[in-house]
Amino acid sequence: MEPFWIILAPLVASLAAPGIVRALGPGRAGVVLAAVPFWIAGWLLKDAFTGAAAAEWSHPWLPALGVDLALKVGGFERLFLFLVSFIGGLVCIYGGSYLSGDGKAARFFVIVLMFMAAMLGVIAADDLILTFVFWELTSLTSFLLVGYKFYDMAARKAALQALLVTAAGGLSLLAGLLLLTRITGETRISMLAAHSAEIAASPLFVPALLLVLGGVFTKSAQVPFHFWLPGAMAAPTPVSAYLHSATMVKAGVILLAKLSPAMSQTELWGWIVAPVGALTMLTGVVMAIYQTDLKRLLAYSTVSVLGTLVMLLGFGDSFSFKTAMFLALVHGFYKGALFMVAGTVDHATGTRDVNSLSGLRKSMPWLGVAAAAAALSMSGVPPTLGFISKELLYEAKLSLPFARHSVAALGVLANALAVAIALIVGVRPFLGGHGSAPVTHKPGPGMVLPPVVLATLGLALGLVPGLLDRVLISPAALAQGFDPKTAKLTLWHGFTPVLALSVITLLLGAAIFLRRERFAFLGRAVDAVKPLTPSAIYQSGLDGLLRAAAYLTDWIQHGQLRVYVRITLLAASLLILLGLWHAVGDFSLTTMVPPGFFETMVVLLMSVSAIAALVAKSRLAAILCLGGVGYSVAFLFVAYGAPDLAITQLLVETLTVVLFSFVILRLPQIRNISRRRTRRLDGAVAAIAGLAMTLVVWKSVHVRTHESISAGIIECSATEAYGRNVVNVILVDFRALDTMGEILVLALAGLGVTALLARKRVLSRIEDPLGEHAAAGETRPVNPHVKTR
Amino acid sequence: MENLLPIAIGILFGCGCYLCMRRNIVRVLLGIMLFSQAANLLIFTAAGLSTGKAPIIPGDALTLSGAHADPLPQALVLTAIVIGFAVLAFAIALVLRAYHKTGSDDLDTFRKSDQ
Repeated sequence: MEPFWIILAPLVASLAAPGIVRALGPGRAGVVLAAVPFWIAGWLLKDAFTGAAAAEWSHPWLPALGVDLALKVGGFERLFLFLVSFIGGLVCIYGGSYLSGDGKAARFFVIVLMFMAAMLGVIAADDLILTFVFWELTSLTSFLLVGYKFYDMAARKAALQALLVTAAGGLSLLAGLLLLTRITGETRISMLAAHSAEIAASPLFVPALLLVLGGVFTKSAQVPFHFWLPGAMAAPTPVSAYLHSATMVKAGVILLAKLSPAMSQTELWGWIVAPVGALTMLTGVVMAIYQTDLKRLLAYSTVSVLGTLVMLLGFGDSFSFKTAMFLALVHGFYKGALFMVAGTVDHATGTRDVNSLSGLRKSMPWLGVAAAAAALSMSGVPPTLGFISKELLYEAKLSLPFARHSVAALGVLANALAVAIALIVGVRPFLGGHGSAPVTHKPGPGMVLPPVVLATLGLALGLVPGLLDRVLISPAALAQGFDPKTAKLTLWHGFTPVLALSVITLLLGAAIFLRRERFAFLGRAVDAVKPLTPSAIYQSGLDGLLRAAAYLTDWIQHGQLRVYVRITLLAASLLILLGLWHAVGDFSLTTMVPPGFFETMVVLLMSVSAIAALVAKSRLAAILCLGGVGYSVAFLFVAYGAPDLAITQLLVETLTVVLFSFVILRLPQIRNISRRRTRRLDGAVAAIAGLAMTLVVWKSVHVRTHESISAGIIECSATEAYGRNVVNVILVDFRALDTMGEILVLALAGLGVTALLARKRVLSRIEDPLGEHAAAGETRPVNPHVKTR
Repeated sequence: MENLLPIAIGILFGCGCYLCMRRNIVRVLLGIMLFSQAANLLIFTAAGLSTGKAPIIPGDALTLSGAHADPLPQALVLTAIVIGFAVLAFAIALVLRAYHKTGSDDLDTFRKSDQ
């Protein structure tokens, strides 16, 4: 079977989900839809058992850029594809039951299955660009799922925060991946390892690495980008169990592991990746220990595990890599189980506050068993998978070339806190007498079975670690070029320092659990430095951005047309003057047409009229100015051989003056409204605009780059168009369509004027402001000014 | 004349700009009028002035002879005059209507009138 079915099958299921939910109800639909991921998981497991060769599939997508829809399912991909599809199946069953009372459960299935396809795509994609596309799809579907309760303001805010952080990281990742392809000329991930020396030597390596890590660290919630993950707990618990513990947040780790053959052979990799991971590992558990909300406890402990995984990959040796692969699988099992337990408890009792939960073992015994088993695995108690992974973890730390003791000590501290968290979440609510929160909804089998399955696997597989090693873990390490034989997955390593560390961890963890109230001071300490925490910085950055945008919009889009005109005029005029400055040498003052006396007088009259119009206060003066300019222009047309223009101008001018007089006498006298300063500013701008215009015209009358094209028109005018007045012939023959357009404009303007003025009472209303003659039924603006003027 | 007309056009244009930036609607109207006059003169002048005859072919000839004005810009200006008039007429009607609706000649008080 082709690998593309891995992505296609969940998509098809996603499309079918609404119909199935409508037909069967959410609970049963979950079971039916779970068949798809289980089928994928089964197929992967079968291939893993038989040790099948890596399956590859590709189809050209953007051949010009060398980008293919390339998928590869090898040992490494199989491990994570299995994890995602197997837990995905359980989440479908669990989610269906969890949301059975929710009328919109179909939406959950549609998006979760889409997410599943995207996540499987991130893992299976063998092309950098395709990986990025799937990566962004996981961010988008995560956004939709965190905001599942869209009517809740807090959920929307958390969804936006998760999206902004991961999408910003996504952009960084894209830039990094593009730099990688620029260095190597290769978009196939499986081919990148061959270029590792070339990558390390390139001057673009450092920016490429930093950008890729920007994407990885945001997605996998590394310090200082970890804050979005606890916020994402606003999602329904099945989503938290799936996206925000077992799968999506591991996308960064997965990509890091995929790229590590190509990029990890440099010092810089270790110096950045390992410390960030270690810091995240500690921050996660320290932030978790004082929480009282079950989901927040789990979320912060997930941050810690993600940090551990990143740190292991940062070490870059075979032992650590294999340990990371194993830990990723183990964590998926126990954390998925614990999240589901938390969700079921929340669903049953209506609270997630650990302080108000106790004695739940009596009402939900099976859930208690699952919780205890998962907590044991998280604590690393033998014979669970968690014990083996912790042993490997300590061994990896102790075999570091430097600082191994301090790193191991930090590891013990982090793990001890994790033990305490496991006890708080998985054991504490089920012990003791009846708690203050009674069980109101008894959970159905769909909400108990999935966590039981995951927790049991964590226990049972711990007894046969060799099988897991052979089938999934070793092939994963081998496929990425790491030697799987360095680390052995066994329950019993003998009496070693590692075993001692494990025992110390458990004892310390138990002690912390018993004294957990003492750690409330951590919460107060974090509150004290609240403005400095990354989430506060994010929030103030977002607020600042919005404020700046509002300010900028107010500043640029102020809605004052006059100011727009002023700025446009000033900018255009200055640009024109700048352009003319370079051509200043070409200015000539020679004239072909000497100014006659009458013409000069007319130009003078025109200019004076225009200037008088600036200051005219009386309406009559305004009409006079208007007429003065218009008739002067008509005279100039007469003087320079354009009788048609002169006739038209005279006619139009007369009409304009009549119309203007008709209207202006119904308006108040002209007055100055703007302030003196504004008038001066406008005057200066207008003077500059006038100067620019003068210079442009001056230049244009003296420059002639082409002969007039009128010669041909004049030639044909009498002979072909049978007209002797060439201007008229142009208008009605050569440019007849133009003239028709002109007539249309005139007709439309006429219609507009009619519509505006010919409303029966418009004119009478103005002459009669008190409205004695106005018809009833229409509201009239009360305006005292009209009467007094 | 080629040195005089550009100055006149610049004055018309500058005055038009100034008036268009006023708050008083009547002044804005006057500004639009000055604008269109300046634009017409600009086109007319840009083609080159000629003291020659109008481009009208005499009855006994098939084509123009001797110095004559260029007919093409004249045709363009003719169209522009008519369109300018249409725009102006519409603007005048609009101003009247706006004044009737708002009772104000101050453009700044018009900002609330479309709500």
